[in-house]
Amino acid sequence: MNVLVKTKMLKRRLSKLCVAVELSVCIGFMVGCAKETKNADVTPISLLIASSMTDVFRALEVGFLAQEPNHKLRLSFGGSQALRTQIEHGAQADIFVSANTEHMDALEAQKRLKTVTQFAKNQVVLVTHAKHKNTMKSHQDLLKIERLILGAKDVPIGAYARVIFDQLERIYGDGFISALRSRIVSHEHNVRVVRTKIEMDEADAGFVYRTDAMNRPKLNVFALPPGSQISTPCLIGLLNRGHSINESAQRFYNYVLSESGQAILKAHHFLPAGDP
Amino acid sequence: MTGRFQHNPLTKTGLAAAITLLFLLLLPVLALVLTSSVDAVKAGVSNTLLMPALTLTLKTSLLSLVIIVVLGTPLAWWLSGPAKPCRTVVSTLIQLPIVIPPAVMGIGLLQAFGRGGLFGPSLTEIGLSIPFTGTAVVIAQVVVSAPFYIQAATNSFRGVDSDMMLVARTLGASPRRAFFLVALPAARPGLVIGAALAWSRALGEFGATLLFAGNLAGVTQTMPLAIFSAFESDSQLAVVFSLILAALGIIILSFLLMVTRLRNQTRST
Repeated sequence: MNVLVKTKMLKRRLSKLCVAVELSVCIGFMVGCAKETKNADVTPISLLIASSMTDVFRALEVGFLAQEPNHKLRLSFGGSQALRTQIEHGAQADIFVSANTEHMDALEAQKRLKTVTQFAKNQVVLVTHAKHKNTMKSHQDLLKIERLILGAKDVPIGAYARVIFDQLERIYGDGFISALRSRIVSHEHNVRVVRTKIEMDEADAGFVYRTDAMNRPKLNVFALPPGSQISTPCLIGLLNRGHSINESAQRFYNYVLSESGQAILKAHHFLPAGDP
Repeated sequence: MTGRFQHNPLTKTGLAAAITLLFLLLLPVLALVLTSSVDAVKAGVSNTLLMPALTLTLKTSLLSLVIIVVLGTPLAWWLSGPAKPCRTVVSTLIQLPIVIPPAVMGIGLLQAFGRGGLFGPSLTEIGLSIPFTGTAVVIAQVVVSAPFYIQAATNSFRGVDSDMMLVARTLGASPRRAFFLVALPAARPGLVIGAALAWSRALGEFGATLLFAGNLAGVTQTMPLAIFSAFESDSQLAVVFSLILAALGIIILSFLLMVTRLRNQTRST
């Protein structure tokens, strides 16, 4: 009996201790959070950016903060289709940067956009691993490769690749294109994974944006025939976030379109939006 | 277990904590059922992505399971022997894939078996290429789920009465015969539970597969990858695919419950 009472007491004491520990952890956490908001008296601008524009937006962030140091940016990257899904499922973002019109249009149709504009252009290129540099001369050489990777059909680069396939089919015939299709080994979820897998030499070739292939020694750009080259829009959209208007987001949006913003884009080999 | 003299009452805080967690654990599955409709399920079932992904998942995970059981059972038997430093080291190392995230294992597998990896050149020489193939899917599943089987099997073998093995040996049974006729039947319930756990883990493998095997319908796109792909175009489809995979998990769980009950019955008799 004595043992039972003692165990009960011990248990009660233990549970009290547990509650105390939990409480202190909770309070500590809340204090930590409060501190964070206290330090940053500005609301951060939350940006969802297509993978292909990762580096240029990191540079744009630096440029913007140099001009307007009283802001805070929170950048998040992914395939445009994934970012669109996030927004549709309630992700709290101020700015969406998309690599194609489809995903931006979908958000516009849902009245989630305040304003949208094309701020630059890019092009789709076919890249092979650099080791194929000397063997890739004509389109027939493409059939020598073993592994071709594309983006999934909802990923902008995947959708563009399918357009290029159709154009190549028109130029070289369906025999060539079905042979090339048989080399496809994977449908990746964003363009940067395509690039990484080619650079790792796990895949031989794939479609990426021209800017993704710039200054990458492990990649070799294969010249696509005229008539199969496509230029692609880079779009920036200001998202509706209920009643509150994020002044900072508007300023960043303007910065991307400003002369300094455009200079950074140019330095990263993006083409001006006005180019034919 | 039998020495318990009370029914563990909970304090109010304890009860609140327990209910909160229970709610969190069950809500996602419940939400899948509640947010889906008959029409959505019909559309999902007839979607062209489903059948290739489902058959691929079943094929690869069952093959992985066979490999895990065949290769893992001898290892677990050895591990269940008397404690020795080498055994402790090996059994600790085997648990690495449990604590290391699958995505990390995926990168590791690429660095090992990829064309640009450690064994890449020698594999290419003998004409083998693993990434982007069904083989890669199976390897990823084996690596992430084998530890679950080995651990359960080791514990189960430890419970085998060593006297019974000794008697079998003195009656003239070879070590092999004693293992198959005494140890294996005695440990069977534990082995089955371990196998079911490993299989469910293999069914759900995502991170390592995505990185190591890629994503191509009918070749390397297993159910979890199909769910991920579907989510980026049609989230309702992703919900239906998730329901199907959840149903598979529930079937495995009921099977486990049955096995555990059977074991308890045989124990009590």
